[in-house]
Amino acid sequence: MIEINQLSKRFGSKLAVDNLTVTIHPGRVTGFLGPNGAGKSTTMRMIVGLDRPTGGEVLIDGLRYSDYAAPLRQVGALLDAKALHPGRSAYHHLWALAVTAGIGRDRVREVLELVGLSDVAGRRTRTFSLGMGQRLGIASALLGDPPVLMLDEPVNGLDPDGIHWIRGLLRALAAEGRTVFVSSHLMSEMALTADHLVILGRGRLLADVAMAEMLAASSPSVLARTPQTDAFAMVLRQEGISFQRFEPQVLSITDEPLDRIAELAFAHQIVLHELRATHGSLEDAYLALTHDAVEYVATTPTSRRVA
Amino acid sequence: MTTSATSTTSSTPAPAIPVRGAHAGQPTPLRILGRATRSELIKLGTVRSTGWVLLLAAVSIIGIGVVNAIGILVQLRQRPDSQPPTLDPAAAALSGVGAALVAVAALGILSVTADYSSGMIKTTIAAVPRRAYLVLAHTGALLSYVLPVAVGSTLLTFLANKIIVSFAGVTISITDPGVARAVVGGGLYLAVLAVFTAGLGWLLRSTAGALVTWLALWIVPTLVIMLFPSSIVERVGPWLPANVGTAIYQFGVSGTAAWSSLAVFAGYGLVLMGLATVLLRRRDA
Repeated sequence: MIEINQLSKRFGSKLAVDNLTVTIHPGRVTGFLGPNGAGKSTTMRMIVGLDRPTGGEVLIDGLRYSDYAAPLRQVGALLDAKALHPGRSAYHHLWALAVTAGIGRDRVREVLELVGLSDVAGRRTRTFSLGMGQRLGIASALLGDPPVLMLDEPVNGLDPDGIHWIRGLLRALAAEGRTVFVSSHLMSEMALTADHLVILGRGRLLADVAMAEMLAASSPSVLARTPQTDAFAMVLRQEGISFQRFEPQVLSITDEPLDRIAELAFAHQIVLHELRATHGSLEDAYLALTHDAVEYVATTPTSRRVA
Repeated sequence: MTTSATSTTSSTPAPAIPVRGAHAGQPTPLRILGRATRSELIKLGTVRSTGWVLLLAAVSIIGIGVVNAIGILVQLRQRPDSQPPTLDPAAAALSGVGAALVAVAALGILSVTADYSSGMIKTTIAAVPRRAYLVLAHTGALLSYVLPVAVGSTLLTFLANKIIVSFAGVTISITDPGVARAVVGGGLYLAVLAVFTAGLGWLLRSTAGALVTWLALWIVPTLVIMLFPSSIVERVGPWLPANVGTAIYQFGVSGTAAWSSLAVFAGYGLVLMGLATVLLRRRDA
């Protein structure tokens, strides 16, 4: 479990993380989302003690990261796949990490096997592709067999096979009761992997919701395709129903049940070629959330626009 | 080459990781330091530059020392009864220490800054979050490489020179007054230099920055002091970065003067390390 308590980080005049309080629970995959510069990486860096918080603290299973004598056995983190010496082999890199936590060489070979790098373990990492570097980063996170895993953009650079593999791995790790905290900018990837979402915008917590809840909350809409678009639009306007015109013949109607739309069309003798309910995607819900956050902050300093 | 590895893993479902039992008993601080030191030893030992730079240092010490001994031998053979050789045969064994400075300083700096330039430092600090331990562990590991090579090289050079000059009927002995101190001291001096330059590496976090700073510290004060009256030069000169500590491998210096000179140099190194540790603990990695 990762408990983030009123965490703040200021870089000069910029507040990268702003009074963030959220708990990442074990036994599920928690996705960490947010636009670029939202403070995801800074938060993750503070969790493993690389950056010093300006305020607040992070507790991992009750202790601060630096309080652990062998932190690799507690938290496996992949923050930057390039955080290694390019002249050192993958095996030696992992071995040097392993000894800090009293982990044997057997385990080094085990994780190399697990991520599929056994054949290239003796090669210097300078020769590694982005995907291989990513696999090595995942291997180092798994090295201490930790109850808490934290991965920043783990699918970055992986091929489709690799993405499929890591999805299964993360789910398996969570199913074993571990805390799995993963950031990604790929919404579709999150939708497949995460059970829970923590969404950050401008350093602040925007949402801490179950994936199912997030999907349900994303506003459903009704798509109506009709050759009489103008006439139907007038009807909707008269009824005070909000809608958008997507294409010349397609209206997207929000916050109204499909039945009512059908009845309205029938009552006003509007020909419908298509009428269907669409479910909001995770991406839509996410964009709606973060768009507001970004816009809010962008207008405040200049106070030019009135919301 | 890599595709075979990739396909084998991806075709199998993610294997469950065998959960190891909880590790009973918190390691003691000494244990943590020991593990961190071992890690730093592995890190230094598994990059090529360490070996090359140490080899360069050894070749500088032994090569220059032996060449000078041969020079003395030739001088004595050609003019057996004339004035004594221009170079003391024992001092010749340490004539390469000055040249080895560059290699050792480069190792001290690179052993730290390579972690910063590659980004490895993030991985290192995440593995050893107690940063004072990290600095201590790194210093210990660095010394374990530099000390044996430096002291070994000066001792080896002395032995080689002893044999060479014996052909001219000259005898030098490690038991002569001040000789053992100077020969071992040459190696000790280089070890302290390694710590000093590693301190610069921790402070400046960049190879170029630390290297330039080291050169500036060695050259600029020596030039500036020339502008002062000789009384000041005599009093301050020996304590300038480029001069301090060098008395340990010079002959004709009293033991106390030699050891206190090295102690002051070690003091400079400790101050730098202390400063580096304070900053490392305060700064973001």
